[in-house]
Amino acid sequence: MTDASTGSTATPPFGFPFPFPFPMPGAPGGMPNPAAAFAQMTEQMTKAWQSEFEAMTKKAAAFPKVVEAAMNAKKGSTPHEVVMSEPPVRLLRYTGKADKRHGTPVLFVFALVNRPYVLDLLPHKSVVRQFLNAGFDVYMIDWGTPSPADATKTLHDYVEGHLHRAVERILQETGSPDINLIGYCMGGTMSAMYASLHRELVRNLILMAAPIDWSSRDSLLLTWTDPKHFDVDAIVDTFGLIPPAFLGNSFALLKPVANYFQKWQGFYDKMDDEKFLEDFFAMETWSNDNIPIAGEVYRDFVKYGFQQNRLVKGTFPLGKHTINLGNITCPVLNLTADADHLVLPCQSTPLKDCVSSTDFTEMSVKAGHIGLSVGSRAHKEVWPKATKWLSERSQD
Amino acid sequence: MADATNQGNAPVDPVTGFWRDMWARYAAAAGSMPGMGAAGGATGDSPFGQGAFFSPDAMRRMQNSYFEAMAKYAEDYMKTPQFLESMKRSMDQALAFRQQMDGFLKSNMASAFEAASGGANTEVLGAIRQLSARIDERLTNLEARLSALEGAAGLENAAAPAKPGKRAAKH
Repeated sequence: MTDASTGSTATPPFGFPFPFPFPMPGAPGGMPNPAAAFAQMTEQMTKAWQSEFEAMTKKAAAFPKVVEAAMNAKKGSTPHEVVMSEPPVRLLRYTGKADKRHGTPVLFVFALVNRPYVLDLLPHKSVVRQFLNAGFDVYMIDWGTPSPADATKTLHDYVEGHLHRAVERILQETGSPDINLIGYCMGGTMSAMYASLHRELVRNLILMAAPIDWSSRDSLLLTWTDPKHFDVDAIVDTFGLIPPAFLGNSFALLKPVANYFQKWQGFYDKMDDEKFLEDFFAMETWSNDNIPIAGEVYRDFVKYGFQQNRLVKGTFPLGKHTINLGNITCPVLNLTADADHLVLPCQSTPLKDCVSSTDFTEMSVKAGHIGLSVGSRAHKEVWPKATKWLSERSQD
Repeated sequence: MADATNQGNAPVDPVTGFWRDMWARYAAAAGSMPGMGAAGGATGDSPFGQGAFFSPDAMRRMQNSYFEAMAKYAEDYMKTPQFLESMKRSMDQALAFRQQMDGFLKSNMASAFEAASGGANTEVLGAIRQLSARIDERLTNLEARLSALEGAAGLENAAAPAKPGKRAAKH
């Protein structure tokens, strides 16, 4: 027999295979009094129902605010202008009030599977603003929504085509000889590829939860995309453009309980908090704003990345090139999220052994994949350090 | 007690495992509440102790226990060969259905209405894209040859400062 108040529990009755928290007959507390127990239970249940009823009334009263917040959900918060357009791709330049203190501009490269405004979701959760306030000229590539005409675009077209032309345009516009490249998730992998091919144009490279090594089998996504169960060729040949619902549901299914139950439970609990509603609907709007991905890009990424893990082996084909991450010599800041279930930290950290950079910094934050950009902890702990890191290595 | 230990070590099917784990989490959550467990029993009152067994906080703990157990077993299940096999089967069926639909629309509907089908559009787009790639390649070759000729003629110094695009091409 043990004491539950000390953290352990009483002896399980009838060979129960799990700890039993209530005192048993013969326990130090003795046999409970049934009448007292019933009275106490009734009292507690009444109180619980009263409390729940009050909470429900408050939540019902908050319903108009919920509708208003849902209708007014924002898609990005910082003013910007379009400086280049290659439909559907656009290059955005953010306009901030802070003085420009650094000559080297910053270019954000987001993944192709979602919209990039998560990096500028709300004023208090904007990575873009962190860099604007640190005195950088900030640009971002918005890949747009591919049409069937883009279905045959390859990863090479994106990296050596759109991305390269965006870099050229920024250099032309700012007069800077090089650029600071910040890549997020798949955009990080593409940025690393670009930096390996154009090292003279990339002054500093920052990667956020970028998959580099797909050898780990801990990730559910890697288990699902195993060639034994996943025929990427059949999918691409059938669909052309990979449907956004397919991608969105696959990501949501990685954490089914959190995404389909706990999220809504959390929403119900806090739906009378206006600040929470603003954050919640901004996030919901973004996470449901999925876009299709060009089939050939998907084929390249799944086949050479997920299934053959060619990037760390130095054999990832990109058009007529073969990507050798060892060509990267610029300073690198590699950011990972401890609780990332989409790109496990162990998929990003091997970058250190692949690049030739002598100036290599790693930072980690206790957050999930998206928490790295919108989490309050990341904005408090990581981004001030990251902007400082970049400021020290950029041209004045 | 010995039985319980044996039962705990014996292999269990996933459903039983889920329920056992969930109840263990429930029990742990209930046992950690103030005034619960032996503390409540020690006063000789009831299993509901001094604390509030039905309080929102207690309910939340129980609910979290349930979600944690569900999340763990959902993740474990989605790694099993059974799930992966069923995922593959349903995906194959969905792809086959889509191919049949595309084939039907392309062959029957498009010709019946004398209209271009989605598949036909894709083929045209693919052809245009191939053409564009070939032109791009030819232009790149021409650019390289022109640069070589300029270099040979000693015109390089007279040329304007290189644009970023030109520098970028040297990789």
